[in-house]
Amino acid sequence: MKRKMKILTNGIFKENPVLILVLGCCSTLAISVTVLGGLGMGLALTFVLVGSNVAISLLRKLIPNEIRIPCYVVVIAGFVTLVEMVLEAYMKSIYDSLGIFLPLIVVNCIVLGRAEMFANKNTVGDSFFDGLGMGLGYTMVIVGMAVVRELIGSGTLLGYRIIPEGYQIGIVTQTPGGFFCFACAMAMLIAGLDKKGRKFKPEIGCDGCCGNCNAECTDRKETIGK
Amino acid sequence: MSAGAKILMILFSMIFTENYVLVKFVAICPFLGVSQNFKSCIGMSGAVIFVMTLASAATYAIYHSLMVPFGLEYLSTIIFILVIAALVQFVEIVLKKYIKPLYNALGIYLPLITTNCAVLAVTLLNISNEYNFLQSCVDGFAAGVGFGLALVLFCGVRKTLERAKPPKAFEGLPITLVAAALTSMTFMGFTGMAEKLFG
Amino acid sequence: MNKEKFETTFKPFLVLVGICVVVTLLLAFTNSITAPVIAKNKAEAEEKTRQSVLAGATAFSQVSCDTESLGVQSVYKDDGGAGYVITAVEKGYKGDVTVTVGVDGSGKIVGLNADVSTETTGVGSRAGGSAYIQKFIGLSGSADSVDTISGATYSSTAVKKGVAAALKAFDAVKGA
Repeated sequence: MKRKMKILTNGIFKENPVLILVLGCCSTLAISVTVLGGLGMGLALTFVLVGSNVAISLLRKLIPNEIRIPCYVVVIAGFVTLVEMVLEAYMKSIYDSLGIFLPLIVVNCIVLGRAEMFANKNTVGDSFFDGLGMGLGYTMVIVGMAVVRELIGSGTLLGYRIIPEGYQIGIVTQTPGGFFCFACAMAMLIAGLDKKGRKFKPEIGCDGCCGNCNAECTDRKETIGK
Repeated sequence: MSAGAKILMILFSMIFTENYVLVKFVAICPFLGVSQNFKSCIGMSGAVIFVMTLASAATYAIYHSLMVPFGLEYLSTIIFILVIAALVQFVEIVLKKYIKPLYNALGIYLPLITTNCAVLAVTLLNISNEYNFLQSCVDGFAAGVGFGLALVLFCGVRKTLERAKPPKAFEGLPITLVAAALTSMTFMGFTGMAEKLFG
Repeated sequence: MNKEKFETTFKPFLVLVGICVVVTLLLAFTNSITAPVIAKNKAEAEEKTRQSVLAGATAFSQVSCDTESLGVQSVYKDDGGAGYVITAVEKGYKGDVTVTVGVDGSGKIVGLNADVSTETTGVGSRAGGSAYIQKFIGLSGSADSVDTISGATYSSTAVKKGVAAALKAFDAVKGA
């Protein structure tokens, strides 16, 4: 049990997918506008992550190595479509607030990355907790950013007006605000870790994620973007 | 509005007012990861434009000829991503075999495009905007050009950033994100221009 | 065929196809459950909006007309004769603004609903607020007399354009 808890907390803190591994930025930046949206996205992603991790772990001995990526994609896309249908039927407001980013969970680096880096090498139980931990870590970050952005940008929290209308800084809810908030969150983390004596230099996780995605990519990684 | 005006409007809005990276917020990962040197920007943009246009055409054809008649619209996410993955694989093989120079320029970026959020996004949005075939292809092409524009612009920004001295905690990724924030702010200035020009 | 050929050529293909089939079946099953729910919810929500903009209406039936050339999404007529409900979609600041207009038999606006969920909260969303909506009630013929909201130009222009399209559509279908 202790090992499972360690895996769980790993995803939330030590290897937080958004802030440490720098994966899944697209959706974090776009959906963290309202707390409700952030919660919805976090839950949707966690569900897909746990589901796909478990499914891929179950199938890991069966899936041949050459075609593992297409297989993962089909499984992940299956879970995403499932979530899409259920949300549209039973939780329409969350479905609307997620918009195009709900189907984009399919290409969310976190899901594919964890499938490749964890689920295909570990047991079902471990994969379940990894998915849960990563999902919770992601939800924490996106809700945290959403609290800041909704409060400063719209003056509300979960729809309840906190700051009187007219005093909000609208741009925080738009694209630039998202980039800026993410920058501040990162900077705070770096400063915080620096104080603890831990040097942290985040790089965009996509090099690592995509490097795993395609075997050919890894030997070409040197030439990309450097 | 006339068909021609609609096409122009799609072109203009996809490149400027609804730019995929700086306004719509998709494809952030490659945007931040590849914009470090100019050559890879061009390479990545070329590959993206190529794949987006082809993907728009292919997914449109499959959606309207296979999926709608059989009522399979709910499978769009799955089918589109598989089409994109297959297309990328196919393009890579064809380029490698027949157009070597182009393969050397674009080839390494192709596998990265499968997980590029923007490609899946543009194919899905073509459907929800109910564009016809020509409009979908133009949309895909323009979205790719917009992505390329954002990438190239940001490359220039990053070159200037290299000489800057931000606060210690902001070094590296955070200051890059702040620069991205300012760049996207400039694109906000394009709002409403598409309607005024072509509407 | 020998075992090795099976392993390298056929097995990957079979596994991939197998996974696709299983996933598709699962999704088809879920779709059969959720699709009716989604359709029902959508119809109910639209009906509710229609009722809210045309008080006293009993039942609606759709009027078939050339919505594309009229620039509207749909036109409904109240069977009880209370009037018409016309829905138009216009481009706002960030996304589409759906305007539902309730018009009585004489062409006077009796109710208005503007869905501004895509617009910036506190800024563009004012275009869908009751203060702005009230300005349109009682108008007929055109919406030109209502000013746009300064600071929320795109959102309020979208509402105005939607109302104008609805009124134009009414002129086209009245008496139908």
